[in-house]
Amino acid sequence: MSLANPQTSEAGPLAAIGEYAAGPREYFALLKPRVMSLVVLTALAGMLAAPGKLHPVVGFASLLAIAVGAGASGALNMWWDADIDIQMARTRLRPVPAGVIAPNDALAFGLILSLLSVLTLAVVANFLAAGLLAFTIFFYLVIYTMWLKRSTPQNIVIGGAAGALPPIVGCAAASGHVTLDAFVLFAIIFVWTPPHFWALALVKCRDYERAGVPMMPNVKGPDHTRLEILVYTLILAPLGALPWLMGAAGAIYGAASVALALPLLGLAWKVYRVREGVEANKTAMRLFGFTILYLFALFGIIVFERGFGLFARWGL
Amino acid sequence: MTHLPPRQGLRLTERQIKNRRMRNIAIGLCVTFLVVLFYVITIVKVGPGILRPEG
Repeated sequence: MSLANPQTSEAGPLAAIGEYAAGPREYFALLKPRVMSLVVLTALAGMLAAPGKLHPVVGFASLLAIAVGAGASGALNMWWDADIDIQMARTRLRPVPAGVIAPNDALAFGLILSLLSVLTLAVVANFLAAGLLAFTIFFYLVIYTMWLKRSTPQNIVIGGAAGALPPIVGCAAASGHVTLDAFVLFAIIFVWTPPHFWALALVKCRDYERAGVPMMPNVKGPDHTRLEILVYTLILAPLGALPWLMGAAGAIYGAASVALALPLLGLAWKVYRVREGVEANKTAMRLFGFTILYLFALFGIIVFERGFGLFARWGL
Repeated sequence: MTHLPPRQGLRLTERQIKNRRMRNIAIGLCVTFLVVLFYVITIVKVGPGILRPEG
């Protein structure tokens, strides 16, 4: 850990405020806990949807390793992106740009946790799961953060694969192989990512422009982005119901996937139609918020159905 | 007798000292948790038969 005095070291622009005096709370923030909570939920759904029985202790330890791996990639992302994070209102108070944690400390923290999480998963579960977790971290850091994010408006489309992998890692940890059900869960998150991020990017496009990040609204324009959001949502709505249609999820999931798809499509249509003024931003933020609810609800129901044995017992 | 000049080394602020202590406690708790977790996992995966002699 760095104990350097910011007045005599290579301090960040706001280091005088932060003094590089990070406590456990700041290091926890480096793990992107909100993203981590979604990873935990989706990986758990992948685990529970996998065939076979899993010992609860092994399941808990595997889930912990996956969560820490996701957190580690978040820390490494913040280390690499500190220069652009400080230019955006949404991210400028993150620990590294705020000068609370030195960049090298964030790098060391991320690398150590990456190694620890992958090795733990190899010991606790199996090498396939550990290899997939290592690939997820690599993909998020090198392919998305270092390469795609600053070079193409398709950054979050391709990079979204990293965020979609946790159900596959969870399935591999639980069963030792990857099933078609896990691939469907992967596909749902993969197709969900563009409308989720582009809804936010429509509102924050000036931030992204200032930071030089080529998000879709900055490169192809807001109208094209609205069309792409609508197209991806039209694919997502039936895809969301696929686990139920395939028999991998129960009736509660089926009903929820249909019930949630309607307002999702409605909001995407409204984002496509309302293009001017404050109302356009409000609608985009409403869609952004609803996409979070949509994904949490779908995967939460899979966990609920499988976790409480409703699916196995009554086919619910 | 020679007088040494006052040390010009790094001076930590009160906040840095407090947070360093908190970090040390957090690391200690994490390591303890990992030790317990790996012990439990070993028992779960290998089972109580680890102490039983072969034959």
